[in-house]
Amino acid sequence: MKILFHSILILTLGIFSFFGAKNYSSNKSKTSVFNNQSIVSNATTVFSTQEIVDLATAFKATLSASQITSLQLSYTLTNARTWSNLPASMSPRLGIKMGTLNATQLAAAKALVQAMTGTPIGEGYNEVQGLWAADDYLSANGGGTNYGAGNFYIAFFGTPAMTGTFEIQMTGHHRTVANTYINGNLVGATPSFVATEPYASFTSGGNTYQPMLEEKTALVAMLAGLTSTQLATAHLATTYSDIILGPQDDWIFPTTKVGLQASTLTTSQKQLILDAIATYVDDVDDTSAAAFMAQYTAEIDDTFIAYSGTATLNNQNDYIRIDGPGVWIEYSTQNGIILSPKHPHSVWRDHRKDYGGTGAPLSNQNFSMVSRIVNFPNPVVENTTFTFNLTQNATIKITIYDLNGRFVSAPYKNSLEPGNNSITVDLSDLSSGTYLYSIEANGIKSSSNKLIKK
Amino acid sequence: MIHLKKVTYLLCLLFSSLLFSHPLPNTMVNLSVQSKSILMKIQVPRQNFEIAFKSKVTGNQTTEITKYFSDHIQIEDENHQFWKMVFLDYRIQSNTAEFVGKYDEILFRVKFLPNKNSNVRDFTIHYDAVMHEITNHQALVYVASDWENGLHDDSQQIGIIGIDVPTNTIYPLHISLANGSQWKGFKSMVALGMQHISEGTDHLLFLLVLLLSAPLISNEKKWIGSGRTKYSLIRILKIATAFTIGHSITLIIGAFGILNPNTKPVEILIALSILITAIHAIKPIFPHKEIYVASGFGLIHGLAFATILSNLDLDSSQLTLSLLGFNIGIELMQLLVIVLVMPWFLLLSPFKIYKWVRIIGAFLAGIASIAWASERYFEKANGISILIQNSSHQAIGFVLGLACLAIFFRIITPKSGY
Repeated sequence: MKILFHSILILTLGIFSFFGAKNYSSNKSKTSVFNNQSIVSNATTVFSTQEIVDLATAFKATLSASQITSLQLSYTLTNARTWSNLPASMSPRLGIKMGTLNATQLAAAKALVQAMTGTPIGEGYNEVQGLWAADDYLSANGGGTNYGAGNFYIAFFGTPAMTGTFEIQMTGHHRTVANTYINGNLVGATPSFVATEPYASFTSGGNTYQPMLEEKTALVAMLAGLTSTQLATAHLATTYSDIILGPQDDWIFPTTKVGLQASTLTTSQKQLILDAIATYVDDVDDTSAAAFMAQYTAEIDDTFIAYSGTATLNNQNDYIRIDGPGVWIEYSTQNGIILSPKHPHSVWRDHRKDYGGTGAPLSNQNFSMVSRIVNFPNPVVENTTFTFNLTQNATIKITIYDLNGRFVSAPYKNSLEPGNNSITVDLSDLSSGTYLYSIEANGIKSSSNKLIKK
Repeated sequence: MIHLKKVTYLLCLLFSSLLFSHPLPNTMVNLSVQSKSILMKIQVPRQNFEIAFKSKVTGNQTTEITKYFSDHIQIEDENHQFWKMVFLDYRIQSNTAEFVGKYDEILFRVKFLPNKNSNVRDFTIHYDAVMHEITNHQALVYVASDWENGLHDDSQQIGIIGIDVPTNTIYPLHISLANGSQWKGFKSMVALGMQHISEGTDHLLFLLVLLLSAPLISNEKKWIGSGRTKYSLIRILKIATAFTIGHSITLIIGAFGILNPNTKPVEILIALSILITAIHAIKPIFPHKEIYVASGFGLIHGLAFATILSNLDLDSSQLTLSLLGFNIGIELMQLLVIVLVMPWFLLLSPFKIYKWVRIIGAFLAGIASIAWASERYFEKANGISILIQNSSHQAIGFVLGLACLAIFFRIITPKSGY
């Protein structure tokens, strides 16, 4: 049965790689910018960081000066965190919009994305192409111009080079690739967001796709390999209608892992977990994927799996999590917006290596300590109360800036305990106008919020 | 078979717009800070509530829902004492959200009564409704109204309650509101009254058109000339007072909730009241009865004012002061408009040109009233109503133009009869 399934899969992929190749040669009259792609199924192609840097430089060379200004941004936390599970029209992205590129530029951009995303069939670049096509399909079937592969963006944070740090981000509605390279190594390939609507197999530009079939199949197989007692241990009592570590939910991994610990499992059961993990890790270049898998394999005994809803991943609110010392994967089944009722949202994160890794310029273990920041009243007349969630004991400092980022005042500094803290400060000395503020925990700034003084 | 497939496909297309993607919106908790209690309005997507409630929500489940909320919301004061919760009511309604489209939500109203001596402006909310079950769900907490601080018509966010993922804990939300005062609350009601009139072009237009004919004398069939200044001033005063008495009566009745009319017919009647007075300004249709007409239409305009106050969820002690303040605000604004506009009407009224000012003014007001009536009846803006909306800022220009015209005629033309 399994063999039959695999042969059908390979046959199907073979057929559409054939069509894909055919399309590639006659690429002039297509309306969608992504219909004319070839599907790479050559598993022997391994891209090195040098090649990725070269392809990035080559892509940049095809662009005009003003296009480069959009593409080439600085490596900052704010830039790196700008991604979403929503279409770019609803949640703006950074970088250059792929729909604005000409044929040469687009080919160079795609060659770069291909090099960054690995070669296994159904994963990596093959999957990215499927997700682009899925958005085109949404666009053509009721989604309109807010959807479609042309609404994906590509951005460089830091200049791609063999030394130093840079991130290349490719982000749009249902896919975000965020690869951070430090001194020639892919250090972080996460947060890697992948989702698809339609989930079911569909045809676009003459090719047939079902981009997240492999993830779902592997995750369902992972649960199917458990005994009923093990399943009961893995089952979470509460409901998850979404992934919990979505966009901007950075570095807030649960301190305590829940579900079933893999150390209690048989070798083949552990392998099923690793197979499921591989459907995410294989979305990076093959050399780096092997390195990530080696690490996750070494840590498998300390990895937990958990699920909520049913083990089929077919129903709304069906949810699976893989949580290890490094790996974090969530898969959530949600209702569809434009098409068939169900579609998955999923994220691969890494406890230590998101955005390039703890200790790298963009991250810090303490980063997550402050969230859910609100100030009331706003506009402020005299006093305002800053309310925020704090995860650990920390020294909290509130700093107010003007809209150009210049320091204005620091009205509060004190040590606080975890909880939903409320700090009232007197801002009557502040002159009227619009300001930004951030709340620092142990020296790590939160993202900025707006404050208006009357 | 093919037909069936096609039909199924079409049905899918039809219903697809009703389906939602992405998780449903979070809970909205709106707090109305009253003088001796907190009114909490909780809006939860129905599907999420039903997952947490572990049952469908249909007809009369007040007992079960009361129990659910008493298990999942508590308010604690500074002395660590819990407030009394009174579950008021709930209703299922439709809402729309970006990314989601149309969905059903349930609006629950819960009241919290503090213990004796506990401060209604400083408390801690322990809240885990829905999120005890749906881990990724959050409650966005807003202050919808805080009368003593003059906050009423736009809610402001004060906090977010949700699971702290690292510790898997739902932290309580401490709320500490700056002290306000009765005076601050009263002042903001005066401002609200003024704002309401200055933005309510229809109320102003009604008053102006009504006063357009105030300086004139009629012979039952047509306007035959202008009266002396004293005559005019007394008439203006009488008409404005009659309108004020009329709208004050229904404002009080409406604000106490004794009368709760539908907004739509009231708004349409207001538009028609302008039309009728506009016709009257061209040709007298209710001569010498302006005072009764003004008070009668005042009753209708007052109903519209009342809905503003009844939407504020004020408690009875705040309501009395609010009524007073709001009404004073309305009067102040009306007075200001009369003072700004009437002198020019009075100056112009002895001249022939006033006839044209009156006729053109009444004619334009008539068109505006028809446009408003149509907009309110069909619930759809039309070209004219949009034009009025966009040009209402130019009222100052209109007054200046009128003033120039009046001064010009006063200077160049010798006084002549009507």
